[in-house]
Amino acid sequence: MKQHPEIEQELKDLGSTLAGVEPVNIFRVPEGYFNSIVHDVLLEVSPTKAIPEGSVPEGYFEGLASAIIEKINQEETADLENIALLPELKNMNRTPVFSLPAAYFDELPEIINSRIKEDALQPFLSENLVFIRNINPYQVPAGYFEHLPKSIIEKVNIGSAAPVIQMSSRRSLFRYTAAAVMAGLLGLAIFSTFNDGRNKQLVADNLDESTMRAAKTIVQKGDFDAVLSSVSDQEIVDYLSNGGEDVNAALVASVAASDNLPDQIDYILDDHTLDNLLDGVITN
Amino acid sequence: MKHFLLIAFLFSGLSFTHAQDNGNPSKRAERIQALYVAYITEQLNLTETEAQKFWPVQKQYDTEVKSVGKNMPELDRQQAVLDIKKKYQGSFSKIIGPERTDEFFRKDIEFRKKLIDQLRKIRQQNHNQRRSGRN
Amino acid sequence: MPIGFVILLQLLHAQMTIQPEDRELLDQFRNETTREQAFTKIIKKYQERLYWHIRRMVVSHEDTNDILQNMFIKVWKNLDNFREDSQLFTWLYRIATNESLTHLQQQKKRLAFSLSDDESPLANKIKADEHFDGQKLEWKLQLAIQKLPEKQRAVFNLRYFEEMPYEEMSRVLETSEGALKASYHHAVKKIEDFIKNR
Repeated sequence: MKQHPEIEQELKDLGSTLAGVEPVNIFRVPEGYFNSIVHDVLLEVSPTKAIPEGSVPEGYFEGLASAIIEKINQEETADLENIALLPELKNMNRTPVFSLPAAYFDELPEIINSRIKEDALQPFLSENLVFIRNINPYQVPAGYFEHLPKSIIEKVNIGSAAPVIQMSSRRSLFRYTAAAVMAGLLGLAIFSTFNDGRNKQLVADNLDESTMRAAKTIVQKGDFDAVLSSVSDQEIVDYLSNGGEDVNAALVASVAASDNLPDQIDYILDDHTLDNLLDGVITN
Repeated sequence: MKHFLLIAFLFSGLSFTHAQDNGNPSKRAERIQALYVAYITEQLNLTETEAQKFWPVQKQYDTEVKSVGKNMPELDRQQAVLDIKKKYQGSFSKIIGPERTDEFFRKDIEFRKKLIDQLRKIRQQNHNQRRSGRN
Repeated sequence: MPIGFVILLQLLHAQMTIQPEDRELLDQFRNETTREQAFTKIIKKYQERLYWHIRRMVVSHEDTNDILQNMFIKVWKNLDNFREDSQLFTWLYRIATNESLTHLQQQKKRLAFSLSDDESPLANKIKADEHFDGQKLEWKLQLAIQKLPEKQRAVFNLRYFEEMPYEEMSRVLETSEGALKASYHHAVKKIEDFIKNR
């Protein structure tokens, strides 16, 4: 439309709804066209190797990806302009982002062979879906797959580490462990009675952990409201004041803002309505 | 051996009761803290891995907000808090995305509102009880 | 014609029994001294495929990592029980899919509180990705996939990305081939519609 402003103008004059619409050019592509590209490219790449029906020639898959891309690049300016790709597809990055492990291609012949027999039953995939299968939008942290086997093995060994202890040495092991525990407890007891200030810091750090655990329980049980109702007013006041909140001001503000204000009729029915309302604001 | 065990147990008993005295007020605040964590987790749909990164940052944020002087002129105080929120917006967004960071700031305030509402309810109930006691 | 028949038989045979390479790995695994080595080799061989299969279900890298590692730990504990009457990777895909589906269901339960609108949390996660571009087709496809119910998602992913034959898929998902075909056809339709209309 941009090349022919008079056509645009003509549409506007006609009052057509097409006036502002960008024409998206989508032709129908012959059925099976893209499926046959593979075959056609291969013929060009190695014309001497005739492909017998139903089987796949040796070395087929190794060169396939690059052969296709090369072919497409060659023909890009000519044929592909005529094939109506959606504008987005034309500008898309064609380099395959998706990397596959070495063994993958060994299994592929079997997979594709079985697909051939099921082809008739396949729903027709539009050009979009055929093209973007290999374009992977997700990113993986660098080096992830290199480190993964190691971290899994570590986890596996921690889980299954169960050293076999002989019967006789078990008893002495138990003794030594018990002694160590006792010594540890004793040391801890002495340590804590003399090291008050330091202890508070330890407690604070452990608080975080137990808070998190408590929070998890609440989430899993879904009893947020129940726990909230069980909390005392002093706890709330402490919490809010520690957060720098002016509790009294907040209370007054909440009453004024609330939609729980009593209706007119409540005032008539109950003498104490106003008192109750103000009681809620009692700042004690 | 037996004497040793006895003494060890005595001492360990001592240390535990000692810890509990100190723990009490902090334990009470802990419940509401747990409620806060639960609330934010649910409202933002935080996953395990997001939570691991999120809470340390939130703790820093919280500490900074609390450290804003309470006696400043009101508008200055509000501005200071707003500046801190903006400062942390980027860090939060990296963990949970910008939309949910927005949600977080909103839910943070929601939670305090819930507490206030609950407080009002309790105070009202208490006063009613006292009144009915009198009658 | 007879060639085709023979190939078909080979195919079925190939799918039913384990590959020689995998059989070797299994034997090595059963031997105490080479157990860890074999396990490492198995991980290296299948980790990427399994990773992407899981990630397309749960979207985030972190969740995928959790599930993948848990899955392989299960493999370590249960590989002795693997009866070699199917392919190793069929078995692996089954575990990976189950772990992913379980994870998704657990996530659903955790969101009891949320009254969020039509956008599922997974869609939000996709949109929160640093590189998300709603205009790009590959991102639209991911959004479309997340709109599918979990099991249908698995069916679509296995067929479309892994090109898995229905016969194998029925062993992965423990569902009849007919049901899987129908599911896949519906999934393709829904996805095409979604992409066209966004």
